[in-house]
Amino acid sequence: MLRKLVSYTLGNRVDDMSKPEDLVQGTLDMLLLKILALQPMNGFAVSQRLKQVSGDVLQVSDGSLYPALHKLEQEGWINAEWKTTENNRRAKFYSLTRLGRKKLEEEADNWGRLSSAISRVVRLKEV
Amino acid sequence: MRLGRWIYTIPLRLRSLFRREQVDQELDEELRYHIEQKTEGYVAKGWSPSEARRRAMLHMDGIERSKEECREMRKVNWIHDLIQDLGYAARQLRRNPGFTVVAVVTLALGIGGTTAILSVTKAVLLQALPFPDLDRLVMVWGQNSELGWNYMPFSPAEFAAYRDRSKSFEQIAGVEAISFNLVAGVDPEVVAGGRATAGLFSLLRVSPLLGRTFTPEEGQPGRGNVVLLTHDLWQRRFGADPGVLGRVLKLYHTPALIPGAEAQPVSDIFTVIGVLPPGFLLPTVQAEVWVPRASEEQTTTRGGSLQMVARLRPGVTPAGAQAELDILTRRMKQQFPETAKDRAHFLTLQEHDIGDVRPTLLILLASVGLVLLIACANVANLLLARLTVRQRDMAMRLVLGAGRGRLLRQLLTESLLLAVVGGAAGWLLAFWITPGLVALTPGDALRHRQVTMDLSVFGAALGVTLLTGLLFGLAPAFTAARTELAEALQEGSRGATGGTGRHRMRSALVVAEVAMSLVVLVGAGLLAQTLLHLMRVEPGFNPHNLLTARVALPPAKYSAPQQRTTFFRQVLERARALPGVQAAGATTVLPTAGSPAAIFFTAEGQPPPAPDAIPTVNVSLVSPDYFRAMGIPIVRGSEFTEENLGRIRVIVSESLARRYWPDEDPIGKGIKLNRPENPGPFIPILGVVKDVRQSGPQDEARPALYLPMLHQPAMTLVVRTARDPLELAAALRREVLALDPEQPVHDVRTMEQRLDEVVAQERFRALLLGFFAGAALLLAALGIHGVIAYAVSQRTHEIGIRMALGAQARDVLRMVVGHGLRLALTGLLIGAAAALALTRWMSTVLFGVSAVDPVSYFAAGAMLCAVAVAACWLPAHRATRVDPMAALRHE
Repeated sequence: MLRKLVSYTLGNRVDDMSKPEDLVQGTLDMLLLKILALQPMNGFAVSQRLKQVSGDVLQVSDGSLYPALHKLEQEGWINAEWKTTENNRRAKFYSLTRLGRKKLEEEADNWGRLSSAISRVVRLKEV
Repeated sequence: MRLGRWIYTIPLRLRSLFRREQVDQELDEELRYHIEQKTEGYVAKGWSPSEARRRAMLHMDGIERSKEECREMRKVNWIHDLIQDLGYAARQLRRNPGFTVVAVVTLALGIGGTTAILSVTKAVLLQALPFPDLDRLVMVWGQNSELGWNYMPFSPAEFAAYRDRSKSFEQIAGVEAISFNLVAGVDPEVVAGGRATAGLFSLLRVSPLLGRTFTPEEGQPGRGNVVLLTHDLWQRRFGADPGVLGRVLKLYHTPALIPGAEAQPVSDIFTVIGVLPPGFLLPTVQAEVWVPRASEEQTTTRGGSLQMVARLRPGVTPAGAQAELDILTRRMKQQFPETAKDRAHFLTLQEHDIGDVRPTLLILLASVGLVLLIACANVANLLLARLTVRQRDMAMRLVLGAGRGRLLRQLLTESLLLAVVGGAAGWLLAFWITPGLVALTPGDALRHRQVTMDLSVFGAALGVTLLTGLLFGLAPAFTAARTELAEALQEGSRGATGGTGRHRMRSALVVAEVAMSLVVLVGAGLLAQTLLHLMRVEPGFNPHNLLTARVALPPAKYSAPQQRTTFFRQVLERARALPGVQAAGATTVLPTAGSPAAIFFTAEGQPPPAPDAIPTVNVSLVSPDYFRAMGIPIVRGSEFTEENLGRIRVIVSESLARRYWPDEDPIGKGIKLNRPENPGPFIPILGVVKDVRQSGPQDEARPALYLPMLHQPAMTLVVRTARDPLELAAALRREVLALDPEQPVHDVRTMEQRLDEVVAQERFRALLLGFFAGAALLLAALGIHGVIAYAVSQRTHEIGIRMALGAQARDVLRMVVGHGLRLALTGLLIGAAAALALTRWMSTVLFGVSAVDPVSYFAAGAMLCAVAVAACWLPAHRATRVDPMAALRHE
């Protein structure tokens, strides 16, 4: 599991993308949920924001972004709605559902536990 | 939590399924928006519009691929696949109508037949009588092992002794069947009645629907003029009126015989005190009204008509109860040495209820099981054949990159579709057969039962056939999928063998089918012969154009013998005066209605027999002209006339006369109706008549003796007519009512109807097994045809070479038909062995034919051979028309 995580760079397609229980997948899910928790936005805006907040470290290709968003929608974590943008175009806006909020809390907890575990492991090696 | 999710996800799934185009359009729009925004961004950074768009597209790594991945997230793809597979399967089935029709017919016969038969069987075996703790309820019977009497009722004294002494039974009640003429309103009618000792209803743990049951006081002599109605009678005769309680009915008790003494005058006025719940039924006393039985003191154990119903005490085993009964019966025999019973035994109420339908049901179950197996073999065969034909197609698709799982799933879809269509056809068939089956079922077994089509049975039958289909249709597909593709393609391209192993399996299946069909056919043949034998038995009288009707006079109203004689004489006179009547007579016991009472007798001038071998004779009391009306030929002497009535003269049967006076004229010789040592007059013989089979065609004619007497209360009228006898039924009833408006005539039927009823069970069995045999034959024919047709198509090349080398059409025909016959004969040999082992169990229901009857075996074998030849004929004929050149070019 750990090796998989390390070898995984976000934005690379992996075949087991559709496995929702996969932790790595969960990471992208968590990022998207977190972004959408701040405010509802459309897919393009999500991709911009993702690049922005991660400081270009996390490269999520647009080809991976949309399947991920659709998955979150089908799981019932986010809700889609067609709205007009500032420049008067119709776009699909995603917002978090009540379920999505709960899911995000869970994921964030898991992530916190995992990352602290990993950093402990990494520090151990340095000694 | 899950529920919360469904609120979000279910609308989405439904939308993906049913608004697919719109959802796809939205996906397009969403991605287009993204690309446009991204392109604008790149343009703003100074890229040319086309380069900006290329970069934007690049980020999407293949817009179609992304769309497909988005679509996969919808989780309803399998449904789309299924719809696609179903469409493909439906097209496949439509493109091969021969295969489809055969498969559907096979499934329908197997599933429909099984469902119908098992629905009836389950109703009979599982729908119990509505009594709590039914398995503890039994009927106790006396036995006389010497005479082979196994179901003897008890006398009041014996009943009281068992009731008071037995510890194995919690409660014992006595019941007896009696008959009443019910007069309430205009139409007098005969109702079956039951007399019960006070404890019966508490023993059965039955509470009445309305009113109450009998109190112990009502078991006292002279106080029992209260009546309980069954639910059926209450509805039929009293319109389900709750006000029936307290109503006074006239119920004339009509005993069949009055032995010796004058009948005691009893009151015929009864007060309704209750209505029994629906479904209340005692199998051995199928009464419509119940009255209390007076518990008068009696010390004799002779005769008796009380049947004992008992409830086993909790914790007592049947063996324990039997052991106690043995002890009690031995003691009883010491106490009452004149008793005719040397043993007592019991059967559960449930066993009595199922009664004589059990062997019929077992035979039907066995044969329907065989037909289902044959159907399974056929389905397996069909699917195997189909798989072979499509092997190349499958291999090709594997080469082109179809997933194996996907292929299997598609095969599965096809089998399922077939099963659904076949199952639906089977359901329709069962829906159509079941009511007919219920209507045909003779006897009382279905009287108080609701037969409904059984869903679980249907499901099981469908499951079994489906499982066979999967086993034979998919298992080989699995192995096929694993074999080397190149090999499969090569084998296919040769267009020849197609797996000899599979072909051998198909041949084995056909052999098994033929074998099982033979078993069913032999069974059907044996039962058909039984029926034919029974119908061909000479009954000893002429049953055509004969109307019969029973008139039972209440002794309460016709107390003097002379009154009854006068009544019957008047009825017969009036009957003779009706237009179209040739002769009319009456008897106490009509042939087919059972055996008349057997009475010890002594023939005049004969050496006295050993004391333990005193002969008995069946005695009937008949009217003048009875023999002419019945068409019983007079062998010697003359028929009873009006002058003989009441005078002591007898007519004896031919076998009795021949036995005692083989070389002399029996006319004028005397017969004493008593043991040799007892007193009594010798009655002169007036005539000798042909033997009559009194209790039906199964039983040998017993020695019979007739007395010219009309004084018994219950007589059956026999009226010989020139036209259809039933036309006279209304007139006969009118004549009786004219003499006494309270006197019902009942059981009005022609003699032919009665004879038909006697063989109703046998006819039912023969008919149904005939149907099954037909179905088995059809299925076997389809199976043989399938295998041979396939073999011919595989050997086209070989046949072409043979014909090119000079083989004639005749040779090819012989070769192909020979192949089919070889399979059939192998099946016949195996089937004959199986039938020999199985039909032995049928011997109890056979008559006039042995279970190893060679005619049945030979006929069944010949029929199957003929069918095999016929089934081979079409493919064989096709084979002879093979053009040698075309066949060789085929390579």
